Amino acid sequence: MNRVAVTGLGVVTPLGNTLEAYRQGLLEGRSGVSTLSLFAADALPSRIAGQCTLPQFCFKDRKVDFALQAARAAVDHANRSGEGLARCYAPHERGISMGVGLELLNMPDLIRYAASGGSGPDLPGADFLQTPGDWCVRQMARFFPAGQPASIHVSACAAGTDAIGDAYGRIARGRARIMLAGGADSMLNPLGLGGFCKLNALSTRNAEPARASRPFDRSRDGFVLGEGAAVLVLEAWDGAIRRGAEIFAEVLGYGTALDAGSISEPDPAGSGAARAMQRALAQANLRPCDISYVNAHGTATPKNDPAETRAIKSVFGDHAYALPVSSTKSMIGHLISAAGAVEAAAAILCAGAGMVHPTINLVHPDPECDLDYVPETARPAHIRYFMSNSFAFGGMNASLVFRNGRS
Amino acid sequence: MDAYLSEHARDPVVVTGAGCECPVDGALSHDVDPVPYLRVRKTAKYLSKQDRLALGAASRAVRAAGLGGDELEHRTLIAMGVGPIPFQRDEALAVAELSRVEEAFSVDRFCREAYEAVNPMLLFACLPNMPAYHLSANLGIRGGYYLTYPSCGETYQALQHAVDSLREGICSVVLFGAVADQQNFLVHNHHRKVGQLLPAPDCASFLVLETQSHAAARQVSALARLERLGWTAERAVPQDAGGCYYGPVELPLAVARWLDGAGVGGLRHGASGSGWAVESEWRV
Repeated sequence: MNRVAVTGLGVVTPLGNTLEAYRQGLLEGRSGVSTLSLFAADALPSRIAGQCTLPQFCFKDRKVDFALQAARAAVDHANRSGEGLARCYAPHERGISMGVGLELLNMPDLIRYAASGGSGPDLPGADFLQTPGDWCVRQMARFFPAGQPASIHVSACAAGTDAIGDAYGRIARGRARIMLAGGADSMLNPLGLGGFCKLNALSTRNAEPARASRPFDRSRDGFVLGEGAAVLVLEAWDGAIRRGAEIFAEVLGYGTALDAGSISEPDPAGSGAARAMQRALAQANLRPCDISYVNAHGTATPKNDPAETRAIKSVFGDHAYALPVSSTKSMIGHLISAAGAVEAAAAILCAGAGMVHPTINLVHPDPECDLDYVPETARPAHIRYFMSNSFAFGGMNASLVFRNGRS
Repeated sequence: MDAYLSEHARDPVVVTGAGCECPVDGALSHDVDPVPYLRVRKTAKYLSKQDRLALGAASRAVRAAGLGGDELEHRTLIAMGVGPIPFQRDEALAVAELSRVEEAFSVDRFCREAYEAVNPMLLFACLPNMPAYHLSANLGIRGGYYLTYPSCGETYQALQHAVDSLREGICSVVLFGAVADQQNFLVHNHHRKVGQLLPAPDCASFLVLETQSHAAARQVSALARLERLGWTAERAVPQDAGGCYYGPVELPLAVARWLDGAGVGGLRHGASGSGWAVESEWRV
């Protein structure tokens, strides 16, 4: 297997759109959650979100702009020497792997269709499914042409992690030499927010948005929906060295597991999550005690956090109690298909700074969640190997293991 | 770098079971009664058409491969593609009707009325990861997964992942395939928008893949062998659309149909996109 380096990152997050702003926000323990301003959600139970801003939106679907912004930033970040990434690798050596959120449904066209009786197979001139994921990736390919089919991952909340894991596998096995990998999502639209409200999945702590996302806290009442994107440049180690690229991290392992449990709830024992972590460790050829930080899925739903805690304990044994575990979602909310990528970026940036970012709003520890979640305040840490977890509706569990590029 | 990778090996990847769900006699629409395949009968209402199609085809493939029970649990990986998201017509139109003021979308009415009318469990019935969930839950699969979307090229990436996972011992069996609910009004609209003129039937097809040694240890016969799999940025390869557009299902369906037709000789299948082409070759 070839070694795989992370040589560039780009982000669009509720804490900012530059790596420095994102890292600083995370280490300050700042919340990016606010009252929703994109549309009037006054009648919905949850009216708060982790919203992103861009100077200009060119597409109807916000996640496309987020993906393009993050991808361009990642390429620029990896290409600081200016020789041009595309020129360093042949077309068939380049690929794109993205976790992309659901297609945006065009409600005005749908209403027009319903008003027409809705009986035909189609409505001329309509544009129901505005942004299929392959279209989003095709936009990325305009400035990073790839000579192999893209991978578009649709494993919901695990998609960003799966996209990075897949890109890692393609480079490690010699099927690609450089990949753009990450995730992009925005479900901050009436159907998206309403759908999650209907599932009772979201926090209704509307009066204090910054304190609403409370992973592992006894008073947690659901997750806060967020939006954004992160793209990593993954590159064959020898190629990165040859062109003198800075290496921010090394991807060492990736594991997935199905729960075969419930549609909407995690396995209470966290068995699928544990298997994903074990498979990632096995691929990395590491022991549990080698890991010095876990970036948790940590949604702040009543059922996820204890299940993830049990899974971590079952994998790490006694080492679990000495292991810092923190939730990026406490600050930016849950970015769904982008979550895994944005959180992997958080872990890479903070590990590179010799720090662990906190889990904010963890004030009243839940007896069922009894690990070291780094409450409220960032902490210095020497991190050599770390893990990032993502678990999805439908029992899809994914974990990545990295080596800190600065270690 | 030669992008064409030979799959010749001491222990080749073989097909030991195949199953498909497609319309017959020129029809385009197709559906499956999922009840015979469900572990819990009352869950039938949570399966969308794409879930039902996938479960039907995958169950046939698993049965044909002589697999069941513990054999599938932790050592089986699901690698599959899905088509564009088929939000269900009745639910989508109900939401639209309860969200309009005259001919315009009203966020306020949506939040007050449509929101209240939606069954939250039906929200899941169109998501692209749900077919894999229903395969996992009803076939007892707890191994890894690879879920991609929405065309044939992406399904080839799923096949590549499947082959790599078998070769490296990450899994012992792969349930490889795809599903596309294409007679859905939203998907139909999408196809028209992107200039897809061929008829697009509802379809699902799955293959059981394993190494030849694993199949031999289970004392089952290999139906076919994956001879070659690869991609190129330069070379064109033949398309095999067969007069219909099967989207992500094209490859597993072509293999299943070739096997159903006695699998004579070999099958060469390819697809291409902007700047790439992929190809696979299968032999009895």
